[in-house]
Amino acid sequence: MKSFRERIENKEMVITAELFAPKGIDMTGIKRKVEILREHVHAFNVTDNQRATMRVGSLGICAWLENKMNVETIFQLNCRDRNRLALQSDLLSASLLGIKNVLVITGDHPSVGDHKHSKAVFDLDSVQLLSVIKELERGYDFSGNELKGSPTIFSGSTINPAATPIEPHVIKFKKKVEAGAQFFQTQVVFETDKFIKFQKKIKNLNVPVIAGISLLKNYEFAKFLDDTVPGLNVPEDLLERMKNSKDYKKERIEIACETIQKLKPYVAGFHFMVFGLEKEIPLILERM
Amino acid sequence: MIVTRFKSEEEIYNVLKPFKKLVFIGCNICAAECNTSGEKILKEYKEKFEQKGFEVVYSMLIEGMCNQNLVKRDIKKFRDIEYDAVISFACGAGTQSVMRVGGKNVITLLNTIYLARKPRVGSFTESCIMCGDCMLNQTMVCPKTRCSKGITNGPCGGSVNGCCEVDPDRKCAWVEIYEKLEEKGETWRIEKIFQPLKNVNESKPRKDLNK
Repeated sequence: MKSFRERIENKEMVITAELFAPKGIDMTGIKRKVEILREHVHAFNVTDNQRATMRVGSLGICAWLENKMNVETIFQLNCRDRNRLALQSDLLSASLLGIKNVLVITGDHPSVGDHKHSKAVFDLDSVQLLSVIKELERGYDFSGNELKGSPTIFSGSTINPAATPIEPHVIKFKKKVEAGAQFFQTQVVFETDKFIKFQKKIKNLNVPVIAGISLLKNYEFAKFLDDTVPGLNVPEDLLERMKNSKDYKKERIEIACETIQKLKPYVAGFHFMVFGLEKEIPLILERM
Repeated sequence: MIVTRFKSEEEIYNVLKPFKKLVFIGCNICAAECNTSGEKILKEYKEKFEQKGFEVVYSMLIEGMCNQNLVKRDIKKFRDIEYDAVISFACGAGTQSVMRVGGKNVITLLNTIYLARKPRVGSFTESCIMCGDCMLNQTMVCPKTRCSKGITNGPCGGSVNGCCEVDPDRKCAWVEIYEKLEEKGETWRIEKIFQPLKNVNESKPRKDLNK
């Protein structure tokens, strides 16, 4: 089977799914989701203390998945919890454990999480971390010391195409590409027009963008997403559709499929973040 | 200026418990500006403490308590008075000046918060974290100070509708930077990748400046 990297480099559509690291070492939930999805997705992202809440480490779960479940993973690595020593060290550890893909993220601020007063690091930002990865691949650490055995890392980062104003985000996006980002995964997309507008701005950079897809569980959930998740707007017409729908499941799958159809010409693939509705991903993929 | 705030009453009275006769030393520069020192505040605290049974035997203001030489000179004024503790109304630097030269039991009532500019009366905007590697010539607004994550290459994903994920009432520093530069047609200034800090000031303890 082709790797995530090979598929992207061959310009073949990729499907990825996000697994939320649990609080505690019970892997039953993750195992179940992986079993549902393993035939359908090319790689699993594992979150890294998402929303600044303390979880099992992304690195640990990725290694566990690769070795015990035999699936490919994307190791999410945030800049909030580690200084430049720990970041580099974890990247080398990941490589040693067989993890080939890394998604570099800034990380939510501790004040939004469950350890509100913990010290945030941000020694490097996501752009700088991407540059460091390139150096590690070249065989050198941040300080210029030679490595004995250098890693091969397929590195990507994130973008929220619906952010406003978008211009400063576009500047940062370009810097990420310059620093070595080889793919992007986006925040969940509902506002397809904003996404397409953004995509046109960065078209000439020729970098694969994987669009984030979610499922609106029901109207209340859609409203909750719209109100509480930073950078995520659920357009009025979708909220209306969910509100008036008699069959939530049918409606949300319909919405996801429509979003996918609209975005398809512009993206390298789709990244599913579905909050417990993993069973519906294969139904959506069938219709692609 | 250095912005200071009063510690909680509970903490203040706890630390004052063993003492009775107090000397007040207040800074008449920064702390006076943000109402944690100055003539009025010292008077107010004298009354407050005396109601609680303390005795304020001497009270003075110094024009900049971070100037240790000045403190050393001025505190001679109360050397013949009997007292139990010196109460400092100053930032951490001012308080340590007194601790170095002011003899026994120096207690501060303040927490030192940040370095600010004062756009108008009663308003203090945090403006500098004294990183030792100033990027204001490129950015006009300091991202290391004004961005809650202090990141230097652009906004994070939490920058929404121009606001910060940590405090939705606060403008995202990178949006502010972009808008300021855009007005001048100089957004190219932030298009280059800013490298991580390597300056000596980032390593602690920082090297003291001695001329």
